[in-house]
Amino acid sequence: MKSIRRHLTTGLLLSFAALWCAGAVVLYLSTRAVLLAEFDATLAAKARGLASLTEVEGSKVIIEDAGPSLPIHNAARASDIFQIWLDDGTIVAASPSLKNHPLPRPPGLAEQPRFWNLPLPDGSSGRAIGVRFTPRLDPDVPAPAGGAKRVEVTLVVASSRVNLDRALHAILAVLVGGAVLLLAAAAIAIRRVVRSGLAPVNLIAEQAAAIEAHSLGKRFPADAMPAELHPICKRLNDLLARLEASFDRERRFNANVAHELRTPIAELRTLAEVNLQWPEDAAATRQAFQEALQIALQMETLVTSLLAIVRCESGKQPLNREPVALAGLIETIWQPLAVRAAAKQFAVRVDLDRACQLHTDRAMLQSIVTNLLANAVAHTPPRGTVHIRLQQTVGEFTFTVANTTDNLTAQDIPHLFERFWRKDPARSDSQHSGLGLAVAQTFAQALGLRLGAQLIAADTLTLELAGPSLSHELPASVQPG
Amino acid sequence: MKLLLIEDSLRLQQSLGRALRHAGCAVDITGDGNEGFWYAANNDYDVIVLDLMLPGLDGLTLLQRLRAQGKTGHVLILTAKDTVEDRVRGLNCGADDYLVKPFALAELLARVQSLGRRSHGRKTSRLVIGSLEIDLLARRVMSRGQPVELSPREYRLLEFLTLRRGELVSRADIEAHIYDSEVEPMSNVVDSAVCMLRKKISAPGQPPLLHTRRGLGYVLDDNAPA
Repeated sequence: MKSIRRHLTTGLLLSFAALWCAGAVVLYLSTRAVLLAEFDATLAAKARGLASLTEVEGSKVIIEDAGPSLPIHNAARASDIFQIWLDDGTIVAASPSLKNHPLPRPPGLAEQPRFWNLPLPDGSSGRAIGVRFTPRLDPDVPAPAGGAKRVEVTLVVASSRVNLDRALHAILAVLVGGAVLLLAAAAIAIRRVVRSGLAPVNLIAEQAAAIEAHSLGKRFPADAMPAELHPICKRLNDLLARLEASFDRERRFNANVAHELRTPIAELRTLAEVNLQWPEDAAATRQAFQEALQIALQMETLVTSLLAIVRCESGKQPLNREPVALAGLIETIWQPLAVRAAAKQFAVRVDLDRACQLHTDRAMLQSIVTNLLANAVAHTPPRGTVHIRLQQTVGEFTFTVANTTDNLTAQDIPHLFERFWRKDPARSDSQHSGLGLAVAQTFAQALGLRLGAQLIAADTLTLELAGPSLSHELPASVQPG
Repeated sequence: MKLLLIEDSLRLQQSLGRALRHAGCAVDITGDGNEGFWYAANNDYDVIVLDLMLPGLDGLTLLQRLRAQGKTGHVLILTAKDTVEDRVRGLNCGADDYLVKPFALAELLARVQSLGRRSHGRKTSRLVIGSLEIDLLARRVMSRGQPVELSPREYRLLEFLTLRRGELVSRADIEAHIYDSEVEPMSNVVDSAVCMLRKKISAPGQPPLLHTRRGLGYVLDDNAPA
């Protein structure tokens, strides 16, 4: 599994090591270059000194003896050696230590000095400078007949570089040793820094691990978090809020299901137990059976509605689309309800566009319309008004049921389509389970229709079903018959 | 035992009312929270069977208000709310018992009887007074080993007096606990019921158990001075 801590620690450590190595190489090379330049400058000075002492005396090339102060001329010092050749390869002068091991003559030398490394006669490593030059004429010696001959000689001066190499090795050892120590220290420091930097992430992880279904009200302290984690905390808090709302809905739903099912079961069981324990006459027994039937029907309606919602939500509700004349459907459904509306002395107005046709599932549309109309009849106060209207524009229909209401508020409207929602928290009305509008909306969504509600002027509830309608002529594929 | 049933389901009201009356309780019934509170606040019920989701005033608020008024009658919550939180909340609000719907009728009756006994400080369901033996659970009365046939109301009266044995019980107390609020007892209803009960439980050669304190009430005891 990927670990940010491991990734950061390894990355930082490798970067630190790479930077240190690069720095060490640059430092070593630049120090080496400086030391070599100094070494070469010293060699060049020695060569220049030797060249200035080299003279042509008559027909010979000699080195003027400047005494023991001239290091190059000190035969005892094997660390500094020199050798001078004429152009014909004749060695005209050399350090005493080269008596038995003359230096090979370097080819291709010019007036510009050249440096190179070479093994010294004593086996140690050394560095040499080679240069071609024309020795000056000794003014104290008369020139031979025919004039003094100008000759060019090759001078090589070499010095032991043991001390230089020792110094370079010491620097290299310090750099490598320092690298090991610094990397070890950096590993510890980086580990601590990364751990402290990631502490808020661990805190979030711990808090997240502590959140369970019953503690969804907890929130991450977004303001106390580093700026990088702030948006994550905010998103997590948003997610928790949605989860909490969803769990609350689920809890309410479960509690409502429990109530809606437990109460009729309790009624049925008590009815049966009482009549078994204290049987009465035939009429009372018949009445008890009728009660039992009513309870069973009530439970059947509840379970059927719930199953319909679940089937729809899981996409298992088959849709048998066919052309449906909506006005006719509404009238058929309204007919029995109109009797109840009249009994409650409603002022009813029905405006239906008879040309409106839908291509939809007749049974599901029937269920939607039934629920909307039955809702109006059940909840309109006596002597209230009910307005049923079906309108059609090009390709769109709107079916509206508006009724007066005396107990709804704007806060209730968002809950109208919630499963089992009832205005009365006591849920005393055993005739209505609070599933009708939930079923209507679930069916509407399955049919691609829109069902909404609004409260107009505080006393009129308007339920509106809208969606695509067939235009004046049905498409050939859906022509009836 | 006088019992108040506050339940908004009409079907449960009817079935439970019938069962509780058969079990010897004088039952008042209402389906509204506010009305239930009025009944409970103005009467002395031995047991109140209380639904939680009620129109008008919810059961828990009703219970809290009753307890705040100092009413100590035993309350059994009978509800569809079944979570542990619901039960704990109900009991913490002052309920004495909690039963979830659906329920076994026998269990409800047993719990109601148990609460009724508790309200009179009795733990046993078998009481013996002199030669009289009363089984509160079986609702059976024996006198010297022979069964005594009593009408439901006579049994309720005997049970009430037995639970208060040795105490002076006024006629008003009897009216309040034996007759539900739908019955308007005439003053001589209690007297004649007591008279009939006295006849049925008296055994020849045994001292009388039910004594009248003129102008005060009645005492059921096997060694009370006549």
